[in-house]
Amino acid sequence: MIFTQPIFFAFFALTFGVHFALRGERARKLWLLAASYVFYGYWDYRFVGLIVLCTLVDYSVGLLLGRTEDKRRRHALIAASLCMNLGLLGFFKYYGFFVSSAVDLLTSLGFHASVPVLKVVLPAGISFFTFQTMSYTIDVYRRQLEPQRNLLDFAVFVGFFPQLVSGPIVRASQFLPQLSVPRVLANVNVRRALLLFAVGYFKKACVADNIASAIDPVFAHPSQFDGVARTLSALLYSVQIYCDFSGYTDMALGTAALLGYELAVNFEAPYFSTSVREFWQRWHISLSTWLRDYLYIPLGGNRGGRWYAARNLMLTMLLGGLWHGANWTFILWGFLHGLALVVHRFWTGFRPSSPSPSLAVRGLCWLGTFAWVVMCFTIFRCENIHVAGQFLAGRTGEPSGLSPSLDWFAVILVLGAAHWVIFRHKALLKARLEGAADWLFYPALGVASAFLLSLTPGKAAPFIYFQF
Amino acid sequence: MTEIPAPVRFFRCLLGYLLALVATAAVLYRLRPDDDDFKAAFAEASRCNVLIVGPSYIKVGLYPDVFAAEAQALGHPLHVCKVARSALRGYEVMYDLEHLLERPWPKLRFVAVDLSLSAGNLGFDRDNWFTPRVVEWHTWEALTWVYRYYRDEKYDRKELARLEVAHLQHAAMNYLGVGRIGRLLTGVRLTEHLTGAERGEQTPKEVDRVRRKAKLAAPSEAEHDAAVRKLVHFKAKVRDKKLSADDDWPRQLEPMIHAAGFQPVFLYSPVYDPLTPPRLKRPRKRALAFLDFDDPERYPTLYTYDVRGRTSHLNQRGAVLYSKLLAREFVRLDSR
Repeated sequence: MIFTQPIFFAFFALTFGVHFALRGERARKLWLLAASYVFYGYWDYRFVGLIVLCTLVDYSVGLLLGRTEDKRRRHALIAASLCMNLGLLGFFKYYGFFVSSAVDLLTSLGFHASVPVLKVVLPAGISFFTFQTMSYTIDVYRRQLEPQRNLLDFAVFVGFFPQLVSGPIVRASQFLPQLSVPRVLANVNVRRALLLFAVGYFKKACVADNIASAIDPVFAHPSQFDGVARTLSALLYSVQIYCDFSGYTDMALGTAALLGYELAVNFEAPYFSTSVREFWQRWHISLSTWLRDYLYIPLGGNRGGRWYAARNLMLTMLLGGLWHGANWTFILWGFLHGLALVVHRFWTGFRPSSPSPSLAVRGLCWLGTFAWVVMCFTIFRCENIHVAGQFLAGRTGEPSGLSPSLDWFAVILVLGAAHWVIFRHKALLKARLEGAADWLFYPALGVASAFLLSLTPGKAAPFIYFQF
Repeated sequence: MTEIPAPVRFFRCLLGYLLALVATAAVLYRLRPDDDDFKAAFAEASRCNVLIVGPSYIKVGLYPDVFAAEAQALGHPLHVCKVARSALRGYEVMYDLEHLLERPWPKLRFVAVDLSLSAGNLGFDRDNWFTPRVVEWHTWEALTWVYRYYRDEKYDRKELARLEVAHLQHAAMNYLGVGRIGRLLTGVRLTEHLTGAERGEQTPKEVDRVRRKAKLAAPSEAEHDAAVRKLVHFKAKVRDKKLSADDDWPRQLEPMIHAAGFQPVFLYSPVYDPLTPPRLKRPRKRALAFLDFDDPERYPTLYTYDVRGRTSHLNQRGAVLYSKLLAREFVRLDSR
């Protein structure tokens, strides 16, 4: 089920209505859990079992960790949780990739290898919910969090449908306390939630989905398109992936807010960053902070000298790239970002940045960062390294009638400018919109909805991050 | 100031939202803008006596100049104009007629509809879903017709549910102006309907190759002879057993044309597909004027190998012959 599909609106109306009609928090949570499993099972009911398995195992591990002080037992318990989560992830996501990569390597070395390759279906959102439950057991293991004793609360935390398949990756410390407070409809900021959903819908359905049809042929066969078409497609893909993913997040935040829950902000206008470091503080924040807290810092973080920090950074980014999927393009994407972060760290070590750089310097920094991010996303989007090579350095093809129109440049500029204005005046706009009278706000939302629907392409494309 | 009760406030807000949504959607809703086919027909409207609406068989098989010359030669001048689109059938015909008949046609006498592509078929193939043409014929009036169509057809319940949802989606998109306001972005969207290529499944070169191949795929002489024999055999059966098809579809088109003050004529083009004219089913009703050119025994010149092109269409020579034969039939009808 996709947030932009009509079926979701029916599903959510029912979920929302029953949720607030029910009396008693337990009944509401049970309803929410059932709705979450239906939401996930609508895609493929067989994989609901995976979520139930993760829930039961990590709930039990959390409880047992809370009952024992024995170091070895604690080690064994956390190892069991990590093995189960990473095992699921490894099998469903990476089995085929590692096997075929190993076979390719052996073949290139002159050995004939015959290994059975299974066609494993990738369960939607597996990377998100496994990371979420892992963060819980690790926090309990580190004694930063009390184990959750209520299985229902824990199951809702893992399965909560707005964030189940594409994040943001919710931390137990942020979400579980919300479950202990009764939800009251009067406390729900309906306007904020509706605005978030509408903005998310615009980004996903009106921008990202329209771009998808324009650039898919170029990424499929880059050698048949000229340099202008490829450059435009690379730019458009960066817009698409941002609008697709942040649009999903906005809709998730809005949906959760309508049910009375707060989810973490995942994006903060990342394309306005003036360094790759800043980009990662603004892009997919829930993943970058997860990687920082559960990978980078345990690896040693900044401790142990500049080169150790660089190694840790590079390892974190490589694994961050691999998290996105079993493909060398993702690993290269992670490597390039890691490289940029390391270079940035060394550079700022030698020449600390000025507290108030000139507009020209900031402009250059922004341009360099943006160009790097676009180039990395181009590799990220290509089917494999070979295609990425063709895209970035391939020969110039004959101009094709299917090339995206150059008018898209204007669209990018308009969208970028609008995004900038909204980002700069977010607080003011929010206050104005949330403070408007009912007779103005809701009809205006109705007008906006009609325009949003009119700009929606017929066939909804799945969210890009579903595959991760 | 008294506080408004929460349920009242909720329903007021909901009502305000829905009214604004519907009103905006209605403003955004426009009829299909005239495309080249319509423009060409409207340009001839002042002198047109016969208007023919049909699929590609009319598009490539009817030359208006030849038609007019033949009618002139017969001493009965008639001007023909046509609105022909590839694979035009089903409800889209009704939609196009509605649009055409809204305009003034000072000299028009006959409106002919080519029903060669299965009369009552919806033309709702999955491959064409959400294309502007299909979206645009999903008006509320169309939905009642669609409902009746499915009521009489036997579909698997699950498939039927899927189709119904798809129809509703199309109608919603149509009334919400999708595909129209979306044309604000026409310049920035791909306008070619190369679905495979759009999905990245085919390269532009592959698409071109497939197109070229299709153009070359004319039948061999043996294939042609076999198809004609089959058709002759079928037509004989039709005559012997007095077979007739359901006339529901032309019966729905007929009053539209009559109401506009013109005489309806239905026709089958000379294709290989065995078609059954719906002319005998309901004798109590006024007979439909039906021109059946899909009959090799009555029109042998339209079925010789040298006048046939690819995919059941006539070639240029065949089109000249067909245009003349059409002119003769309309002169005959007009002389009654």
